Amino acid sequence: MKIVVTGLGVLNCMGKNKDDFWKRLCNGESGLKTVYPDEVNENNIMQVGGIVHDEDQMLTDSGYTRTTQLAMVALDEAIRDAGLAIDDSNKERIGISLGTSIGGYQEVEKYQRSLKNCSKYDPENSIQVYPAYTAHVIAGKYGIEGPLVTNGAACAASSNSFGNALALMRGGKCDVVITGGCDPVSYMSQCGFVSLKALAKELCRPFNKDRKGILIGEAAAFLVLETYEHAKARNARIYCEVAGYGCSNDAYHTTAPDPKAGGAIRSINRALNDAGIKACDIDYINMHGTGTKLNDVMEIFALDQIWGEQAKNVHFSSIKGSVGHTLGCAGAVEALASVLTLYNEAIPPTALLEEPIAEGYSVVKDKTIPKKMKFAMSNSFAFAGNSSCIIFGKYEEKSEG
Amino acid sequence: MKDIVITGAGTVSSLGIGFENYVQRNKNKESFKPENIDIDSSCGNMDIRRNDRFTKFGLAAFKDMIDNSKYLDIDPDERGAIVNTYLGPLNTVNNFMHTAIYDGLSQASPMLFPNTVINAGLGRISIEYKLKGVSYMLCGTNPLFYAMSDLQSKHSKVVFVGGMDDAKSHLAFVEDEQRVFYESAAFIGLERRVDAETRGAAIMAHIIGMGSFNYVNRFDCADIPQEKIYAAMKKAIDDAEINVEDIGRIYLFSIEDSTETKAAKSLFDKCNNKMVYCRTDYSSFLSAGEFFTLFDAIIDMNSHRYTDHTLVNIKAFDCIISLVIK
Repeated sequence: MKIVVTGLGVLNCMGKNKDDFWKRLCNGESGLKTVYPDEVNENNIMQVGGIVHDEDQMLTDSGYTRTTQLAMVALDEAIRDAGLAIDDSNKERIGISLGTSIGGYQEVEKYQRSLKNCSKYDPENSIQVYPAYTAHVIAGKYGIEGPLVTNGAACAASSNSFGNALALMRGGKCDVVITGGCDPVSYMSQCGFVSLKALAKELCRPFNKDRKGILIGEAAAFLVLETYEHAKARNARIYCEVAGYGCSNDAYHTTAPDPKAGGAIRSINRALNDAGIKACDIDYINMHGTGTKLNDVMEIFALDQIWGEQAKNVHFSSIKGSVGHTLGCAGAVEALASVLTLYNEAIPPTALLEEPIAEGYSVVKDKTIPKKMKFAMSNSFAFAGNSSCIIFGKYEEKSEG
Repeated sequence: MKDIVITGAGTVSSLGIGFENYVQRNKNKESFKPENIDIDSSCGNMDIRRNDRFTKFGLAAFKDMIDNSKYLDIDPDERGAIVNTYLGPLNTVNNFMHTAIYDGLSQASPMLFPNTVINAGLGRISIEYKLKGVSYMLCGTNPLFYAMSDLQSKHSKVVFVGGMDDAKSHLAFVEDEQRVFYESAAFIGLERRVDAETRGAAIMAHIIGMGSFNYVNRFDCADIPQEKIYAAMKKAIDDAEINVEDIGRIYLFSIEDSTETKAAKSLFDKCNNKMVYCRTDYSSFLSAGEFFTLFDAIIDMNSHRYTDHTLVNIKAFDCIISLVIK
């Protein structure tokens, strides 16, 4: 079954829509800035991060957690971008597949702060801690009544949600699945990564020799996936095809990646197999590229193992120097960036990269390079070993009949 | 028509620690009551030290399932796991945040943080049992459809599906006496029938049909529309390529008079009370509870050697699933 991407929506520190995001990405900018305590919370310990500044007051529905508010903005753009009308005739054939790592756990922080400050916590809000809450709220808002699925595979959550979306479409349950992710900057994730000594203090520099770890960003991103027939029937603009998907588990360590890249290699090979193509057909890879010591080395190792002598010819980059690690949303933001890369035939540079980790590889730095492409790949790897790979294929309009 | 078999089951809950215990209590028709489950008794020393209660439930139920099977003979690359949770490791998140906010960051343990991620339990199970196939941690989504989809695509030889939750109240950190939850975990092993038969696995049940309908959960306990439940059951029967008359037994997720019983009576003209079984409402068992009605049907089928086709309705967080098993 041919599945295509027909709509995109994104909100992060690099832009409040896909066009702003893409423009700044191509300029090699970083949206990671100094974070002031009142921007996150009273105990902010993150000095630099990717905060969505809301001068335009997009995040107005304060009755919801920030996770849900971010999701609403990006979902709205994706639906508008796709020109998708949702009504009684199709509402049960449209699904949502969403990935999140933090979900509504910010409510736990609110509750603990209310205890400490002796202020009242409204138990009505506690319902929002359900990780699935956001998907159900946004579905209700848009009248979507097809299958809803929430994936909680940490930093691979929203790329794993692609797998769930494809299963729903290939299984005949949906004509359209809006897939993506959302995660806010939270005190919990900041504390956690600080406790693991994985949080950089100033800059996040993926694939740089001198890299100091991750910086956290917040984001929401959605892609409208649609069966080709459905998209053509309503004359939708097609960005690209979803060519293949694969996932696996490292089954190695809770927080560290398998140095032999077991999960990464399996998920990439499964995606290639699903797409029916060879590794040498891939023109660009959007790496997970966290900027941690272990992850970036592991990914280069996987590249060598799969591409062999061709490894140094494959163009790749990471956008985490620009948007930070958006945790459960990372897979969706990076998939969206990969789609725009393929669609625009231009590979944005890895922001802040100065001295690459290994010589001779085709990591894109300094400036955007134009390139005709057929296939782009997006990889995500997570705590607890979850790993996944999505392959997008160039859509070529063929004359009908 | 589906051709998937269930070849293993494991569970830990106040209904019994271990599937055999669950079976025995089921046969004795014991009613369940809240119990403070000594989950550590089902875990090894290392697991007790490094895992939180959420993960311990998952590990214990998984171990229960795997101890009674030969799953580990299957290539690790072809062993998948799709796990569901409603609330995830909420107690651990609460503990972590309490420490960070009250005692300061320096007191927040780097050992505790990895347990706050929702897929921590899935990760531990995958490491322990080398599960390198499909790997999904779902939240409020029943994993059966995704497991069957993966098996039918021949990506995995076996997919373990289950649910795990350690919540005891509506929310672990907010007193809510109206909704008491029962911490629990349950797993089943699913395989294509031909693969299970080739490796000589003991088959507990054969899933031949599946129907479902999805709904948006508005967290208001609203009734599920009767016509939707009817449609899910009809779809399962059609998928199994049998007739309504071929169904001999029906297991419902709800008890007494409900839209579900009305839907069943509407679909089955000759439906009578002898045909319908509804032991209890398992919704308080959250994600694991989604498997208990299925367990009841399997236990009855195997202990009484019923050969009738059986319809099992499962109420999940966001859908109703009907299965035809035999």
